[in-house]
Amino acid sequence: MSFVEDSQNTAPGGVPVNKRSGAQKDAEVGQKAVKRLQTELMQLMTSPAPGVSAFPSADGNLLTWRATIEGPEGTPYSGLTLKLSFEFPKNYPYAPPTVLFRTPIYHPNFDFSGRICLDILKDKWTAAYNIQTVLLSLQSLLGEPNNKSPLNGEAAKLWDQDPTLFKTKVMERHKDLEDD
Amino acid sequence: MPPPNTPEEGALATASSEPSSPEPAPVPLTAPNSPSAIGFAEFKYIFITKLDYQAIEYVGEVDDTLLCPVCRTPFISPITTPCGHTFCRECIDRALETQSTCPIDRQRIRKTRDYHLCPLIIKEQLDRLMVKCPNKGCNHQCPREHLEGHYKRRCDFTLVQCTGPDCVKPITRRVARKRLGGCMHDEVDCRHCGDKVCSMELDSHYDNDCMGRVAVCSDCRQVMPNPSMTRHKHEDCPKVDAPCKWHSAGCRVFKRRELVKKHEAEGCSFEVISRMLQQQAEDRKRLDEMARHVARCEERHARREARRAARAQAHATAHGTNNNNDHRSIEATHSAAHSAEPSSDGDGDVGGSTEDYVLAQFERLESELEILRQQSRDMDARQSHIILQHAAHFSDQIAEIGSKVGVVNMHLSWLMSLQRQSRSSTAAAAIAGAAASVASGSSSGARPGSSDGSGWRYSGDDRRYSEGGRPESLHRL
Ligand SMILES: [Zn+2]
Ligand SMILES: [Zn+2]
Ligand SMILES: [Zn+2]
Ligand SMILES: [Zn+2]
Ligand SMILES: [Zn+2]
Ligand SMILES: [Zn+2]
Ligand SMILES: [Zn+2]
Repeated sequence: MSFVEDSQNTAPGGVPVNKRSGAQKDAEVGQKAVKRLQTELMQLMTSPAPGVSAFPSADGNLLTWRATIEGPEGTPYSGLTLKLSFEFPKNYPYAPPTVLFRTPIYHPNFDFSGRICLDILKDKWTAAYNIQTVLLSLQSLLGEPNNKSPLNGEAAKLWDQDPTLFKTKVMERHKDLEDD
Repeated sequence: MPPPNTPEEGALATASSEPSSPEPAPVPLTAPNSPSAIGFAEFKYIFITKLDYQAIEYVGEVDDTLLCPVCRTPFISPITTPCGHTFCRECIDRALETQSTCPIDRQRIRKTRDYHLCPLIIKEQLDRLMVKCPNKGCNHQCPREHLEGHYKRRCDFTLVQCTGPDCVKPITRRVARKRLGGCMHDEVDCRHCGDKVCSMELDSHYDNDCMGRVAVCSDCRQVMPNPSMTRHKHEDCPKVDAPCKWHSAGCRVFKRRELVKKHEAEGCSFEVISRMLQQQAEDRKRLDEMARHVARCEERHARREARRAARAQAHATAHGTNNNNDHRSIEATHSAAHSAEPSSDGDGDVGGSTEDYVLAQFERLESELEILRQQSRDMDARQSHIILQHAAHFSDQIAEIGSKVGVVNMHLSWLMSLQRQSRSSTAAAAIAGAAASVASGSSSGARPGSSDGSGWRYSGDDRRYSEGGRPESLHRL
């Protein structure tokens, strides 16, 4: 594609017949990310996956989203609602989003500030992943933590040795967040 | 850009076998098919925009298998990798810039060299997908393979450069056709009012400014200049819904303006309240004015008082020596001060000493002040009297409504008791019938105890309710 989106005088489906400059290329990349996120939003709304949801944040910026994961049944997180934030880079989906837990969570692969240790959000990311697959991966991580590379060593130990204490710690850490 | 399924030049050897006609030179382009351009077939439109396949909207659901895993939209110029996955040519190019593996199964892929032709069956499915023309204003829908042709050759809403000689502003092809070879951004004379208007803005001129064009109100069929229509609908049209004039006082009437006019003419009960509120506001204003006036008078009086005290002192010190001279000079200053005070005219001037004059003035002001105080007290009293009156009126009405409700209540319980009575009497009759069949000889007066008692009570209730003003209240309601 050798054409760029111009902000004015452009029909929705058309791109101006000009040569691109560096800045315009950047803008085009951002446009692509926004387009892809729009399609994802449509698909999330028309065929939502059970237990996870996501929506762009209220400020109208499509590059930041809010998401929720329901703790799956049969895990220490069952009955809890976990809130997350997504920050998408301009070259999404060619680079992964930055995902953080906003709800305080006690888990071997998440640290105290909500950072997540998950390979598909780092080097294993590919352009074929999307918000829904990320959320579903995180949801399954809740039931099956990867204890080989923990961010929270104590949690990794307790997960194997003392499930009751683990559950207590989960409930202690958990705090329901107000919607914003 | 080539049509969606045509692989880009050099990507594949089979590219030339595509059925689609060779690409017309994009800029400038001839428009041989435009119906209204007969005779101008040679005219060259300069396109402002290009069709962007990623932004087009599809009609209905698109099968998941036709969605590119990277951009999540139906494939555009798809290719297939050695591992068997299909992507848009552009999407996989971009993905391979950051990683050299397949986004789905992480197999190694070499850019371009490993791309295979996508199965034709997928291309055909993609070609048949129904899409909407992306141009604003165009409702055209067609299979995707025909969209390019529609957009480039037939769509009236494709943006082209203005056909004026030195103009590069974008206009739709439809507008361009109307004034082929001319600029749409020049001024023309409005044929209704003769004003000079930019030809692009003629439509909005007709709607908003043109006093030469008439329009008919869609509600009341009245004829008027077009721009007056909005005001007519908002303020005059008898067929348009409007609130009562007294809605600020609480009237809830909101219906066709003619009915509202009638309602207002018949006397809206909120008019009283509204007028009262208005009156109150006016009175408040007058009171405020008076208070200000009083304050001014007081201030002036205080000033004069101070001056008098100062003068009395000076007089006392200078008394022994140059009496006459001194007096005259005081008189002079006094008359100067006097002429500077426009309101303090009148009798103070008639001879006598300055002190007498000032005292007289002071007394006069005092009495004026007293009058003002009296007036404001009166007004207060009047005000509260009016309010009381209205309040009494309302409480009367409320009491009346209350009594009506009471009457209705009474009716209701009377009717209920009637119903209960009739039900119990049928029950009693049934029991009595049963009793009679058991002991056929017993007298008709000897009913079972329970039904006897209840029968008596109901008849008593009945009487009490009929005493409770039922007949006349029935009439009243
Ligand atoms: Zn693959
Ligand atoms: Zn794609
Ligand atoms: Zn069209
Ligand atoms: Zn022009
Ligand atoms: Zn006009
Ligand atoms: Zn009208
Ligand atoms: Zn009214």
